[in-house]
Formats: sequence, C-alpha cells, structure tokens
Amino acid sequence: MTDMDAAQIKLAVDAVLSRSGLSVTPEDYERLLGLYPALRAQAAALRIAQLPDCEPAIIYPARTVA
Amino acid sequence: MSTRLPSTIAEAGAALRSGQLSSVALTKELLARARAAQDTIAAFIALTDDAALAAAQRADTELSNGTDRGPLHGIPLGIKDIIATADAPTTANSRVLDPAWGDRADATVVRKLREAGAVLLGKLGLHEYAIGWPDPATGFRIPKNPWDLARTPGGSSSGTGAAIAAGLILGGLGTDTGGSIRGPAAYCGISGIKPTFGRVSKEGCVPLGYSLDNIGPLAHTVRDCALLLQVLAGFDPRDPCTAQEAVPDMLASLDGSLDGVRIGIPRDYFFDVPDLDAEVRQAVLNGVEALAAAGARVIDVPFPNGPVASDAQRVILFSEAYAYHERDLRERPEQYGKFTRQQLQQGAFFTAADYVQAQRVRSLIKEDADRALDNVDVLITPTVLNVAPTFEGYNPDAVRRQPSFTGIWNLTGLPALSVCCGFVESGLPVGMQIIGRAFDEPTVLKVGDAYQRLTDWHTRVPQLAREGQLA
Repeated sequence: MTDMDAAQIKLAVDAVLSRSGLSVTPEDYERLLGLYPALRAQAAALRIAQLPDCEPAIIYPARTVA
Repeated sequence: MSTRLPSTIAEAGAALRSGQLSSVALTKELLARARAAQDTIAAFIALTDDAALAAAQRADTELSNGTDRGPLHGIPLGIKDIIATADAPTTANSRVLDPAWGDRADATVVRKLREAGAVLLGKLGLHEYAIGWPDPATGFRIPKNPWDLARTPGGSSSGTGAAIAAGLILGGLGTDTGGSIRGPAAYCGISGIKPTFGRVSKEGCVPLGYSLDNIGPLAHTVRDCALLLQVLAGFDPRDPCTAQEAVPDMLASLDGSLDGVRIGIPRDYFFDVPDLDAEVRQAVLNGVEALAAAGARVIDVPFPNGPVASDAQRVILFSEAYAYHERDLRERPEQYGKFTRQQLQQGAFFTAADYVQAQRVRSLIKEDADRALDNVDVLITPTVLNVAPTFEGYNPDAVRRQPSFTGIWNLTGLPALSVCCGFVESGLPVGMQIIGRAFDEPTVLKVGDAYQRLTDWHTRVPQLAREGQLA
C-alpha cells in the first residue's frame, strides 16, 4: 500500500477522473477512493529488481507480412 | 426427461453414423432441454431453433448421402455470445454493445464449425463483455451452476460451462483472457482448453484484452476438446494475431500412454499459497499421483515470480480493456452492469509506464515459464483456488489480489487445459490445470486424455441433469 493520506488519495482519484472524462456514481467514487492505494500498490509491485534487462513483450512486424 | 442421449461428441458421432440417432432428433431433444432449463440453468441468451434444425436436417441428408464432414458433422454446439454469428445478434451480455456490431457475418471460428457440419443451437450467456460479475439489473439471464444452482458456473464463459455440465449441448466455444474457459471448466466439472495465443482466430470476437484473449473449446472430455480444436485452429489472414504455425493432428497422441512423459510441479505459488483450498490441493495432488502411477515422471520445477506475474496480467488486462471501453465508459456508463463498469474503470488508474512495466514483467515471466518447461513436457497446477463460490455475498473486490493460477498462462501465451480431478466433500467439482509449451496442444491434450482414461470424474453428471429436474 502507498503512504498517501485520504486527502492525497482524493486528489489523485479526482485528477484521474478529470483527465479521463469519466463520470462515476457516488458508490463507484467511494469504491475508487478505497481501491486507489491497492491499484497503485499493484503497479508498484511491477517494478522489480530483475527488470532492467527485460524488453517489453511488444512485438510488431517492421515489414508488412503479405 | 428420461431420454438417454450421447453425452460426448465422439459418442454422438458414432450414433449418427450407425443410424441409431439422427441429428434432427438429437437437436430437437437438446433444444427442448435447453428451453426447459432457461429458468433454472439459464445458460442461453438466444436459442436459434429454426437455423439449428435446418442445419441438423442438412447434416442428416449429407450423412445419408455419404458426405461426411468429419467428427463435428451433425453435432449440437453452443457459442458464447461474444462471438459473432450470422443467425443471431451478438450482445456480449451487455446493453452497451452496438447492435450493428453484432449484425454481421459469422466469426471465423463459427464459419469453420458450420463448414465442419456442426449444428449451432444458440448463443450462450456470459459475464458482461467477458469481465466482471453478473448484475441482475442489466436484464440478462444469469447462468447457474448445475451442481448447485446457488453457485456460479464460473466466468466469464458461464453459459458454456453450465450448458455442457447440464447436458444441454455436447460442446461449445468460450473465450479466455485470464481463465474464462478454464474457470467454468473447473467449477462445472468439465474440460476446457485455452489454446496457445495465436492458435485460433479471434476475428469476429469482441475484445477484452487484445494481447491476452483466446477463443477455445469446452466439452465433457479432453477428446471432444481435441476434436473441436482441430477444426478451430489455424492461421487466419483476417486476424493478425494468428500464427503461421502448421496445425498438428490434435488426436494422434491420444493413445493413453504416459511412457516418457515428464510432469513439472511448480510448488512455489501454485501449491503453497495459503488461499488454496486444502481439498482442492489434495485432489490435484491425487491427480498427479494417478498420472505418476501410470508411468509419468513427476519433477518439481521452479516458478519464482508467481505473484508479480498475476499483477502484470491484471495491469495489462485492465489497461487494454479500458482502451476498448473508454468512450462508452465516458458517454454511457450507466448502461453497463455495476460490476463490469467498476472493473473497467480501474484501467484509467494505470499509467502508460505501468503498462510498459507490465509488458517487461511479461518477458521475465515468459522466461520463467520456458525455464520451468525446459526438462518437462507439461506443468500441472490447480486450475483455481477453490470450488464454485455462491452468488450470495460474492465480492469481486475482495478477490482482486488473490493469486490467480490461470492468468499467468494468458500472460505467457501458453496452452492450458482444465480437467475435473475430483469432488470435494460438499459434492462440487475440482479442476486440475495442464500447461504445455507454445503450440504443443497435442501433448497437453495427451496428458489430459490419459488422465481421463485412468479416472471417471469427467463422467459424473449433476443430480439435476441425471434426474431430469432441469425445468
């Protein structure tokens, strides 16, 4: 979990909602406030020590495949 | 009803060819069962009686004229209603999907099934857009688990799993982005395989996670899954994700022999997590023991990064799903079911860097999987942590960070099959997952089929279906 307090979480969630243009119900909003730290923790968990040598698994053909 | 019908595609095929049964008679009976069960099992969104009976009639005529299209000829199947079919609208179980999207030609996989002579009974229910949890407020029927109507059949291919377990169809199509074929297979006591990513065309399927989605078959037996996969597999120029890999004979290795087969057991994460139900764990270990007693060699293998693999799969899933749904979530969020909307909203909270990091973890996990499979032919794990949960009190958020044994194989693209390996004391089925190397479905199917020759879990039928109490 992050160390954010309730005010910081609210700011962060409001910023994402504003940027994304999502309008949410009061119930959805409360849920997102509660969920936000867990979502950020999930993203933070991806920054593991073994990654510096890893390329992202995104492959595309530079040449058009006929 | 007391009519004893074939319970497998293989059995039905033999009956059709011997003249014991016609496709029309079989189709009529299954349509009647399906309709009678709509208020209990509720597996179908739409039943296409006229088209099904016409296809069955064609099959009977062709078979009697000596035209044999193969093992699926005249066989009644169902299609998850996220895959386009020409004879019925496609809804994705949602009020949001533009009806015009569904008003189109058959998806490639559906076209292939029709060319193989299959009889399509209708469109099967699912979790809305293949994600979330059923919301009664959307007005769509909610499929129930035939083993216990108070429980989910799993998702998101809920209707497919329920219909097969209840004996309403002999096989069907599902999709799998994080376990949506294998979960229902496990919870319903049937077989289901997520093929290698790129093995089966996704053309004509509403996407959930572009780099994670797969279409695959469910049926009572592994052999039937192999029959279905043989028809479905192959490069499709209309789907850039399909691989130009030759399609092997999926049935050639189904000889029951386990001589020389090496099974890897990744105990870290898959067997030692506290969330894993003890009865499920034991049933899967019993399954491994049965395979070992029949000649397979069992070897412990490392899989060090299970938790972060699950995190990576979820970040990729929610990011890709959100990209698809972004506009509808902005413009008409109220038309989504509550749980689907809430799941999809999460994608807005991951950054581009999060997505790239998840894709870098993906590369790492792919190496882990390749290393685990280095000296073995397949891996075996439980399919899911537990048996089918009840609808009552289920909280999707509470299970968010629970370990997932299925999504890792979507992350790595490897083929993964779920088979029934026993029942817990309460009478609910347990799933065992068999994972193989990329494009080596034949070996995965071989081990699953061999297991089904040693055991009879897959032959068990829910009491409701046995006693004709589906209505």
